[in-house]
Amino acid sequence: MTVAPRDELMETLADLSGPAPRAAQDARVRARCHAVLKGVGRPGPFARKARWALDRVLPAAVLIYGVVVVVEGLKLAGLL
Amino acid sequence: MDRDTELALLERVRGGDTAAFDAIHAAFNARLYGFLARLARNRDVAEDLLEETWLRFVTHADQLRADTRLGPWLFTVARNLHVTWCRARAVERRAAASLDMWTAESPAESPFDRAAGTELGQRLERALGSLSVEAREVLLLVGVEGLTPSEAAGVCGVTPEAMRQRLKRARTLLAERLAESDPRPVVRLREVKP
Repeated sequence: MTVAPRDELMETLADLSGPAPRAAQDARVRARCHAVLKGVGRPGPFARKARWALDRVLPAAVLIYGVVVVVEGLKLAGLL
Repeated sequence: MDRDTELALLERVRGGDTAAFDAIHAAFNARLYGFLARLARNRDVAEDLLEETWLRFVTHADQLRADTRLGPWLFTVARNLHVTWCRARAVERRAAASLDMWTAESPAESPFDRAAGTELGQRLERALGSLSVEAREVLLLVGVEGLTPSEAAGVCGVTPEAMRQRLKRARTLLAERLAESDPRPVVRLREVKP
């Protein structure tokens, strides 16, 4: 006969209650989050598009630069 | 909160809807706070980390995938912020020790000891507090917050199998600590027919 632990411990853990966060602190955090959601300090549509374009152009530029460096290296070594 | 409601609220938050944010905040705030406070064992630190968690949420809301599971996402951010805080505190402790300024932590009863109404609740809080952060976070995520072991694995950045092993070890440790604090059994054994 096998004896296995019943998960009463995990059930007790699930019922555990802790103190709630302070209401004043909550209100402050919510106000800050509302400000962020309303766009205070957030980049506008143009800035977001510019960032999107930059995120794609930069890796491409680095890739082209890398290819040029390798080709020039091969030329210097006389392999091309 | 059911999954459809969660997805609808997330969609609205991604569009900057503050009422939807309030609904998500109401659903997760106390859970996140309990998780952070039990991890950090410090009310002020938990509040700071909680604030940062919510700010990260609203800052990254428009980049979240439409099918993001909010619970695991929020607990992952909260847990990572706590890890960063622990690292910073470890650096501070080393610096303080080198200057011979380190003072021992107060052995006083924590707010959770006071809040845990029942005697068993108090014993559980104390036993939880005596575990390592690794063991504690596993028990808090799966046991207290009700995340599945797979979701908890995602939060902690480990494989589901590793999480199951961690959970098993943490559960055993917790039962041992409880038994040390009071020999009366909390966990009863049941008979399983072969």
